[in-house]
Amino acid sequence: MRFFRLRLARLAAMATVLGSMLGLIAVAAPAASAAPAGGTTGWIRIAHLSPQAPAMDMYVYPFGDPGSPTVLKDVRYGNVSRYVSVTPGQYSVAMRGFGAPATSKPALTTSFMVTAGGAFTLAALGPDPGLRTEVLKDQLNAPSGQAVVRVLQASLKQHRVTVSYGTNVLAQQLAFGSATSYTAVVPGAQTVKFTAPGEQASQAVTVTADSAHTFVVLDNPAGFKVTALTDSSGSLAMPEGGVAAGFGGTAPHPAGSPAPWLAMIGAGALLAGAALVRLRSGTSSAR
Amino acid sequence: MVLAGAAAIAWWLTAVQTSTATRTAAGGTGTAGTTAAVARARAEAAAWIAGQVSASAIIACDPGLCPVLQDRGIAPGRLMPLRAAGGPLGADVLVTAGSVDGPLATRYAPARIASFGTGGGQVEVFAVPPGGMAAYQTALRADLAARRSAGSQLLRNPRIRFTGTGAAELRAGRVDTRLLATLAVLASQYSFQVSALGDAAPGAPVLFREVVITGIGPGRSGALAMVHGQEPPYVPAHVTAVGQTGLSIEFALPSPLGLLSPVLGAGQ
Repeated sequence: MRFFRLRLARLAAMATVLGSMLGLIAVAAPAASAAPAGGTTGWIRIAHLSPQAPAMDMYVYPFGDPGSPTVLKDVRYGNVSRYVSVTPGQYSVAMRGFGAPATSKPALTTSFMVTAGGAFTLAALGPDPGLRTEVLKDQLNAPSGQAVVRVLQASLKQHRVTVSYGTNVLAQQLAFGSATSYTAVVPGAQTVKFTAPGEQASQAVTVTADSAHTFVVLDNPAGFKVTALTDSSGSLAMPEGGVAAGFGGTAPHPAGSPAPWLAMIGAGALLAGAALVRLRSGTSSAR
Repeated sequence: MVLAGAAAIAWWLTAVQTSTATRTAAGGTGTAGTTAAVARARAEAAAWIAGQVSASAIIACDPGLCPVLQDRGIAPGRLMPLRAAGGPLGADVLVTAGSVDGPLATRYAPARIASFGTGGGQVEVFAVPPGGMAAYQTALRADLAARRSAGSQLLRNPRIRFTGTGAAELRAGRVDTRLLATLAVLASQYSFQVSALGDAAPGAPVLFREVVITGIGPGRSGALAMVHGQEPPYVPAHVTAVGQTGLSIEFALPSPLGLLSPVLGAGQ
């Protein structure tokens, strides 16, 4: 039901955008790179980062309206959902096994506050049993021409990890379940190095200007594994979700910015409108 | 200079030991109260701590009080007798005897969670914040604001009915965060009435940790299972059936701060 409403809301928003684009198509491109709007909406996404935990369904219940939860089903290890817009307020997060009915007993994992204009990642971390949900506040913009990155340490094998991005040390002996603040970095291709007792790894990454990313340290059979989440990428009025460019992640790729498509649709609509007017005026003249 | 420093430390240690000896004696004989009154306060405090403080909490206690707590069934491994040169660091709860312990509490434990007896025989129980005094005060202010906000939102929940008094307590932020979250999740499946809020912490600022809900109807066994099935920090200390359709849920002390806005890392 919630998804249905969200879709309706998105369709309505898209219709509004399209409508306004008919008159303002020339300024559509600058708007696409503007910072996300604050307003009356917040965003949440869910990340399953516990290799031991099975697929699950996550329910996010508003304190004031328990009949309208945000539900993400079949969240599996490595999955990161798109951002979903929610009304600002207090929420409880509950987990159920994948496919369990909504009337079954949920496990309350955390409660958190969504602020207007804020974006949050709910990250399921840790062993199972012992799974926990951490709430991260995501940054929605970067200094002009730069990128910002942070590290979330979710490795169960290594409890303390040092992470560097080129010459920038992003995290020093970062403990499991901890996250760093965002650090501004020069965008482009770079090497990220991970060090822990008896283990070292490096990976090539590419981050684009005006974007924000979270590097998540995870385990794989060979040692470290890193998933780069894109927190924002010069988006329209909502942040981008999913996996960043540069190296492998297991989450589905986010859709690109809708601006070019909207521009194309808008331009098409304009052309069609112009043709219609011309056809009508032609018909009037013929009369 | 080294000798002077050593002498100063030795003097300080002696002074502290004297103070501790005085404190214990004062607590034992009672300068302001009778021996019976002191013993009664200690027994009440010990019984209360055994029933209300989290079973995983480490308790720093006045050396004269530790045996009383142990007699009430608190495992010796959870008790940390206060030493002359040390504070309650590493403990979750501090139990002091008599007003001479005041400076200790002021220094390490600003949050009084219960008090028993009066004068020199008074026993006080404090929460020991892990991050120190300044961090505690900041966290407390933020927690109160979050409780007020969350409580007000819960009042709009169409599946929960509150009494006028209960609604006022929610608006004032006087309801434990674990209780608020539990009510919110219960309301995802059940409709009920919050009939009473309870607080069994004498002599301390009110923060309700107990709720009696009624009118759940045939879903009570499911609600009971849901509450019982939670993981820390949402595991109640006591859950009992009340009447035909009710439930009493109580969380232990100390009440954690920051549960309603647990943002990891600095972020933006």
